[in-house]
Amino acid sequence: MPRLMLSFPSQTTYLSPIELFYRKFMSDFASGSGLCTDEIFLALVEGIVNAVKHGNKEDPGLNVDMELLLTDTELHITIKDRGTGFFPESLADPTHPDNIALPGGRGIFLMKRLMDQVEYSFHPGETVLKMRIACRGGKNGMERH
Amino acid sequence: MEWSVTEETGKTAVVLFTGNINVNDEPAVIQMVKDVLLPKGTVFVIFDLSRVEYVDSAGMGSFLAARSILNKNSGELALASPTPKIEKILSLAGFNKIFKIYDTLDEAKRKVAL
Repeated sequence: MPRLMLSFPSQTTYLSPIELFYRKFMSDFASGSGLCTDEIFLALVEGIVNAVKHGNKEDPGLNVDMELLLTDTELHITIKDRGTGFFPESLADPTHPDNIALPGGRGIFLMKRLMDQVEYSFHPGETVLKMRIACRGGKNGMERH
Repeated sequence: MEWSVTEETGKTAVVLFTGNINVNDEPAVIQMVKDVLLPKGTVFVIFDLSRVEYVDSAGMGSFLAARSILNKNSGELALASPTPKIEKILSLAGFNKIFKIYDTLDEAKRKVAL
Protein backbone atom coordinates (compact mmCIF):
# COMPACT_ATOMS: atom_id res chain seq x y z
CA MET A 1 0.00 0.00 0.00
CA PRO A 2 1.34 3.46 -0.88
CA ARG A 3 2.74 5.20 2.16
CA LEU A 4 4.39 8.58 2.69
CA MET A 5 6.27 9.16 5.93
CA LEU A 6 7.80 12.52 6.85
CA SER A 7 9.46 13.78 9.99
CA PHE A 8 10.28 17.46 10.27
CA PRO A 9 11.20 20.10 12.86
CA SER A 10 8.41 22.06 14.51
CA GLN A 11 8.36 25.01 12.16
CA THR A 12 5.48 25.97 9.92
CA THR A 13 7.95 26.98 7.20
CA TYR A 14 8.03 23.27 6.34
CA LEU A 15 4.48 23.49 5.02
CA SER A 16 5.70 24.35 1.51
CA PRO A 17 7.93 21.27 1.03
CA ILE A 18 5.30 19.12 2.74
CA GLU A 19 2.78 20.32 0.16
CA LEU A 20 5.11 19.25 -2.65
CA PHE A 21 5.53 15.76 -1.15
CA TYR A 22 1.79 15.50 -0.52
CA ARG A 23 0.74 16.52 -4.01
CA LYS A 24 3.29 14.17 -5.61
CA PHE A 25 2.00 11.30 -3.45
CA MET A 26 -1.63 12.02 -4.32
CA SER A 27 -0.83 12.50 -7.99
CA ASP A 28 1.11 9.22 -8.14
CA PHE A 29 -1.23 7.04 -6.10
CA ALA A 30 -4.64 8.65 -5.56
CA SER A 31 -5.53 10.13 -8.93
CA GLY A 32 -8.37 7.65 -9.47
CA SER A 33 -9.57 7.59 -5.88
CA GLY A 34 -12.17 10.32 -6.12
CA LEU A 35 -10.56 12.10 -3.18
CA CYS A 36 -10.54 15.89 -3.02
CA THR A 37 -6.84 16.56 -2.67
CA ASP A 38 -7.28 20.25 -1.86
CA GLU A 39 -9.66 19.66 1.02
CA ILE A 40 -7.54 16.85 2.42
CA PHE A 41 -4.49 19.08 2.21
CA LEU A 42 -6.29 21.74 4.22
CA ALA A 43 -7.12 19.16 6.91
CA LEU A 44 -3.49 18.03 6.81
CA VAL A 45 -2.27 21.61 7.23
CA GLU A 46 -4.57 22.17 10.19
CA GLY A 47 -3.31 19.00 11.86
CA ILE A 48 0.33 19.88 11.24
CA VAL A 49 -0.06 23.47 12.46
CA ASN A 50 -1.74 22.26 15.64
CA ALA A 51 1.10 19.78 16.21
CA VAL A 52 3.77 22.41 15.58
CA LYS A 53 2.22 25.29 17.54
CA HIS A 54 0.20 23.66 20.30
CA GLY A 55 1.81 20.23 20.62
CA ASN A 56 5.50 20.97 20.25
CA LYS A 57 5.20 24.69 21.09
CA GLU A 58 7.26 25.49 17.97
CA ASP A 59 10.37 23.92 19.51
CA PRO A 60 12.54 23.15 16.45
CA GLY A 61 14.30 20.49 18.49
CA LEU A 62 11.09 18.48 18.57
CA ASN A 63 9.94 16.75 15.42
CA VAL A 64 6.46 16.24 14.03
CA ASP A 65 5.91 12.86 12.39
CA MET A 66 3.41 12.52 9.58
CA GLU A 67 2.21 9.51 7.66
CA LEU A 68 -0.16 9.10 4.74
CA LEU A 69 -1.38 5.59 4.01
CA LEU A 70 -3.58 4.88 1.01
CA THR A 71 -5.53 1.63 1.04
CA ASP A 72 -7.91 0.40 -1.63
CA THR A 73 -10.77 2.15 0.10
CA GLU A 74 -9.42 4.91 2.37
CA LEU A 75 -6.74 7.48 2.96
CA HIS A 76 -5.35 7.45 6.49
CA ILE A 77 -3.38 10.37 7.93
CA THR A 78 -1.43 10.14 11.18
CA ILE A 79 0.32 13.13 12.77
CA LYS A 80 2.34 12.79 15.97
CA ASP A 81 3.77 15.49 18.17
CA ARG A 82 5.47 15.47 21.57
CA GLY A 83 2.79 17.44 23.35
CA THR A 84 0.99 16.66 26.56
CA GLY A 85 -2.47 16.70 25.01
CA PHE A 86 -5.63 18.66 25.52
CA PHE A 87 -9.35 18.16 25.99
CA PRO A 88 -10.95 18.01 22.54
CA GLU A 89 -14.43 18.03 24.04
CA SER A 90 -13.69 21.43 25.58
CA LEU A 91 -13.30 23.08 22.19
CA ALA A 92 -16.12 25.47 21.40
CA ASP A 93 -18.02 25.51 18.13
CA PRO A 94 -16.33 28.35 16.18
CA THR A 95 -19.48 28.92 14.14
CA HIS A 96 -21.57 29.68 17.24
CA PRO A 97 -22.55 33.37 17.32
CA ASP A 98 -20.57 33.84 20.55
CA ASN A 99 -17.40 32.50 18.93
CA ILE A 100 -17.73 33.43 15.30
CA ALA A 101 -15.55 36.52 15.52
CA LEU A 102 -12.80 34.91 17.58
CA PRO A 103 -9.57 34.63 15.59
CA GLY A 104 -8.74 31.02 16.58
CA GLY A 105 -10.38 27.68 17.25
CA ARG A 106 -11.25 26.65 13.72
CA GLY A 107 -8.54 24.11 12.93
CA ILE A 108 -10.02 20.97 14.48
CA PHE A 109 -13.50 22.06 13.47
CA LEU A 110 -12.43 22.26 9.83
CA MET A 111 -10.64 18.91 10.01
CA LYS A 112 -13.82 17.28 11.28
CA ARG A 113 -15.86 18.81 8.51
CA LEU A 114 -13.44 17.84 5.76
CA MET A 115 -12.58 14.30 6.83
CA ASP A 116 -14.76 11.28 7.65
CA GLN A 117 -13.11 10.63 11.00
CA VAL A 118 -10.80 12.68 13.22
CA GLU A 119 -9.48 11.26 16.48
CA TYR A 120 -6.88 12.45 18.95
CA SER A 121 -5.26 10.09 21.40
CA PHE A 122 -2.87 11.04 24.16
CA HIS A 123 0.06 9.03 25.43
CA PRO A 124 2.97 9.85 27.73
CA GLY A 125 5.04 12.37 25.81
CA GLU A 126 3.06 12.00 22.62
CA THR A 127 -0.16 13.20 21.03
CA VAL A 128 -1.45 11.28 18.03
CA LEU A 129 -3.94 12.61 15.51
CA LYS A 130 -5.55 10.07 13.20
CA MET A 131 -7.75 11.12 10.31
CA ARG A 132 -9.47 8.98 7.74
CA ILE A 133 -11.46 9.58 4.58
CA ALA A 134 -13.09 7.09 2.23
CA CYS A 135 -12.09 7.04 -1.41
CA ARG A 136 -15.62 6.76 -2.72
CA GLY A 137 -18.83 8.64 -2.11
CA GLY A 138 -19.61 12.23 -1.26
CA LYS A 139 -19.24 14.21 1.91
CA ASN A 140 -21.20 17.29 2.87
CA GLY A 141 -23.11 16.87 -0.35
CA MET A 142 -20.05 17.91 -2.35
CA GLU A 143 -18.55 15.89 -5.13
CA ARG A 144 -14.95 14.93 -4.49
CA HIS A 145 -12.51 15.99 -7.15
CA MET B 1 1.18 34.33 -0.54
CA GLU B 2 1.58 37.52 -2.54
CA TRP B 3 -0.64 40.55 -2.44
CA SER B 4 -0.98 43.78 -4.36
CA VAL B 5 -3.27 46.78 -4.16
CA THR B 6 -4.92 46.72 -7.57
CA GLU B 7 -7.35 49.61 -7.17
CA GLU B 8 -7.61 52.62 -4.88
CA THR B 9 -10.43 55.14 -4.87
CA GLY B 10 -10.75 57.54 -1.97
CA LYS B 11 -11.01 55.49 1.18
CA THR B 12 -11.51 52.22 -0.70
CA ALA B 13 -8.97 49.72 -1.97
CA VAL B 14 -8.96 46.33 -3.63
CA VAL B 15 -6.23 43.94 -2.51
CA LEU B 16 -5.55 40.97 -4.77
CA PHE B 17 -4.09 37.90 -3.07
CA THR B 18 -2.28 35.16 -4.97
CA GLY B 19 -1.33 31.69 -3.75
CA ASN B 20 -1.94 30.19 -0.34
CA ILE B 21 -2.94 32.17 2.75
CA ASN B 22 -1.81 30.11 5.69
CA VAL B 23 -0.32 30.38 9.15
CA ASN B 24 2.91 31.82 7.75
CA ASP B 25 1.08 34.70 6.08
CA GLU B 26 -1.05 35.85 9.00
CA PRO B 27 1.37 38.61 10.14
CA ALA B 28 1.79 39.94 6.60
CA VAL B 29 -1.95 40.40 6.11
CA ILE B 30 -2.29 42.32 9.35
CA GLN B 31 0.85 44.36 8.66
CA MET B 32 -0.46 45.24 5.21
CA VAL B 33 -3.64 46.69 6.68
CA LYS B 34 -1.84 48.57 9.46
CA ASP B 35 1.20 49.82 7.56
CA VAL B 36 0.00 50.23 3.98
CA LEU B 37 -3.74 50.87 3.96
CA LEU B 38 -4.50 52.74 7.17
CA PRO B 39 -1.74 55.39 6.79
CA LYS B 40 -3.35 56.39 3.48
CA GLY B 41 -6.76 56.63 5.07
CA THR B 42 -8.00 53.50 3.32
CA VAL B 43 -10.59 51.85 5.54
CA PHE B 44 -13.03 50.26 3.07
CA VAL B 45 -11.20 47.23 1.76
CA ILE B 46 -12.07 44.40 -0.60
CA PHE B 47 -9.94 41.27 -0.52
CA ASP B 48 -10.00 39.79 -4.02
CA LEU B 49 -9.66 36.01 -3.47
CA SER B 50 -9.95 34.95 -7.10
CA ARG B 51 -6.33 33.77 -7.23
CA VAL B 52 -6.18 32.18 -3.78
CA GLU B 53 -5.51 28.45 -3.89
CA TYR B 54 -6.28 27.67 -0.28
CA VAL B 55 -6.80 29.49 2.99
CA ASP B 56 -6.34 27.73 6.31
CA SER B 57 -7.83 28.60 9.68
CA ALA B 58 -4.95 30.93 10.52
CA GLY B 59 -5.43 32.70 7.20
CA MET B 60 -9.08 33.09 8.07
CA GLY B 61 -7.98 34.43 11.44
CA SER B 62 -5.99 37.09 9.62
CA PHE B 63 -9.16 38.14 7.78
CA LEU B 64 -10.89 38.55 11.14
CA ALA B 65 -7.99 40.57 12.51
CA ALA B 66 -7.97 42.80 9.43
CA ARG B 67 -11.72 43.26 9.72
CA SER B 68 -11.38 44.19 13.38
CA ILE B 69 -8.71 46.79 12.64
CA LEU B 70 -10.78 48.34 9.86
CA ASN B 71 -13.97 48.32 11.97
CA LYS B 72 -12.15 50.19 14.72
CA ASN B 73 -11.31 52.84 12.15
CA SER B 74 -14.93 53.08 10.99
CA GLY B 75 -14.19 50.95 7.97
CA GLU B 76 -15.19 47.61 6.54
CA LEU B 77 -13.69 44.50 4.99
CA ALA B 78 -15.43 42.52 2.26
CA LEU B 79 -14.34 39.35 0.47
CA ALA B 80 -14.80 38.98 -3.26
CA SER B 81 -14.74 36.35 -6.00
CA PRO B 82 -13.66 33.32 -4.04
CA THR B 83 -13.27 30.15 -6.07
CA PRO B 84 -15.86 27.47 -5.28
CA LYS B 85 -13.44 25.56 -3.05
CA ILE B 86 -12.48 28.70 -1.12
CA GLU B 87 -16.13 29.67 -0.80
CA LYS B 88 -16.91 26.23 0.59
CA ILE B 89 -14.18 26.51 3.25
CA LEU B 90 -15.30 30.02 4.22
CA SER B 91 -18.87 28.76 4.56
CA LEU B 92 -17.81 25.74 6.62
CA ALA B 93 -16.09 28.14 9.01
CA GLY B 94 -19.19 30.31 9.22
CA PHE B 95 -17.55 33.27 7.53
CA ASN B 96 -20.57 33.75 5.29
CA LYS B 97 -22.40 34.84 8.46
CA ILE B 98 -20.04 37.62 9.44
CA PHE B 99 -18.38 38.75 6.21
CA LYS B 100 -19.89 40.23 3.14
CA ILE B 101 -18.76 37.76 0.49
CA TYR B 102 -19.46 38.78 -3.09
CA ASP B 103 -19.35 36.41 -6.04
CA THR B 104 -17.61 38.94 -8.26
CA LEU B 105 -15.25 41.83 -7.75
CA ASP B 106 -17.55 44.14 -9.71
CA GLU B 107 -20.42 43.37 -7.36
CA ALA B 108 -18.18 44.01 -4.35
CA LYS B 109 -17.04 47.33 -5.75
CA ARG B 110 -20.64 48.40 -6.34
CA LYS B 111 -21.65 47.55 -2.79
CA VAL B 112 -18.61 48.68 -0.82
CA ALA B 113 -18.67 52.46 -0.73
CA LEU B 114 -16.50 53.11 -3.76
